[in-house]
Amino acid sequence: MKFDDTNAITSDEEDVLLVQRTLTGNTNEFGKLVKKYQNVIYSLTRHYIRNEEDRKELVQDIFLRVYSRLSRYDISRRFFTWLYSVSLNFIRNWAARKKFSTVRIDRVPEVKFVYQESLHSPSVSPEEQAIRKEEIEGLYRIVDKLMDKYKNIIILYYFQELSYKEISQILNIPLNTVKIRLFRAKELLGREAKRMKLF
Amino acid sequence: MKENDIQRVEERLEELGRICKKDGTSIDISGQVLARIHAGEREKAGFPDLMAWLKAHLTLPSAVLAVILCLAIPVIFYSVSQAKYKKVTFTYSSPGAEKVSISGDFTEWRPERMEYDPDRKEWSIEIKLEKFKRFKYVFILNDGKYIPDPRAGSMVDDGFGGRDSVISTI
Repeated sequence: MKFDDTNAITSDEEDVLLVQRTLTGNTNEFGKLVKKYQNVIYSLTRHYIRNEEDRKELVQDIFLRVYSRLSRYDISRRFFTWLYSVSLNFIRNWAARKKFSTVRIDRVPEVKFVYQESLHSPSVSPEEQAIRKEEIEGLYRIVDKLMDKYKNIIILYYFQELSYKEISQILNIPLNTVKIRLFRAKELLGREAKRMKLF
Repeated sequence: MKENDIQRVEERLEELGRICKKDGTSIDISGQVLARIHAGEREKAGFPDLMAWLKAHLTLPSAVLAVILCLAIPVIFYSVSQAKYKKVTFTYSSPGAEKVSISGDFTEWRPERMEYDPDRKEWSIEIKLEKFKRFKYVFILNDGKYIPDPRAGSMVDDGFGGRDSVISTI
């Protein structure tokens, strides 16, 4: 059986449609956009803010900011890259205002917790598991110490699994700059890992 | 930096990505967001009434008083908040460095770039710190090398095998 998909709209087109309907006064359509992207933005905040309740409040505030700026959204741009841009700016300002530090030295409980299961493999010896666990936890702490221009790229590329092109649109920088910064970030991470005797 | 070091970083980052994905707790805040939007719109709708009330009740003396209060309150708040802080100048002598930054409790550990003074041959930055507190900090040379302040009154272990400088404000 074949589906006639000539009338099907892409996820991006659906976003634009929801934005347009919201702007014409149908506020409930914005709820659909929130439902669609709330967990993506929630997962993004974990790398900047530790406290669960603060994160939930922050995600709400981000969507309220997005709603208030919706008329400025350029529909030729993908909605989700614009959403990421607004979110990253908002997180940075919010963290500075609330004087929250980002996930730091003693603030990586989530990773520690899930890590136990993640490496549960009979092919990996307990010693090797311990070393890898230490390296990963250590590396996460170092990522947090990176300057924003490097940290954001690592988070977007490795933790949010976005493409170079998407990152370049979100951060509004050329594609090559994304690649260069990503490489430089990995160099810095490796250097710091060595300094901390992780590697 | 050796190629296999970069590769090792990449492998660990990929693993971290998998861990983060696996730990993806979900939320549903759409109801709260819409409720806050609707509440905001109701407030906006109520705003014209407030304007009408002001037009009806605002007299010249009360308007002048309101303006004076609006101007005075920020000045009072500013003066009180200034008394809580003091300006501290951090300096570091390293004429050969291309860039020196400071990173500490007070910058949320984000590097703040220091300015080079060719006459004094030193890097410096002025930072406003809260009084009667203790802060940890470190200098960063050329974006990579962490150096504790040799002039600091005391130092503590930074938890990574290095040393953080400590400054206490009075």
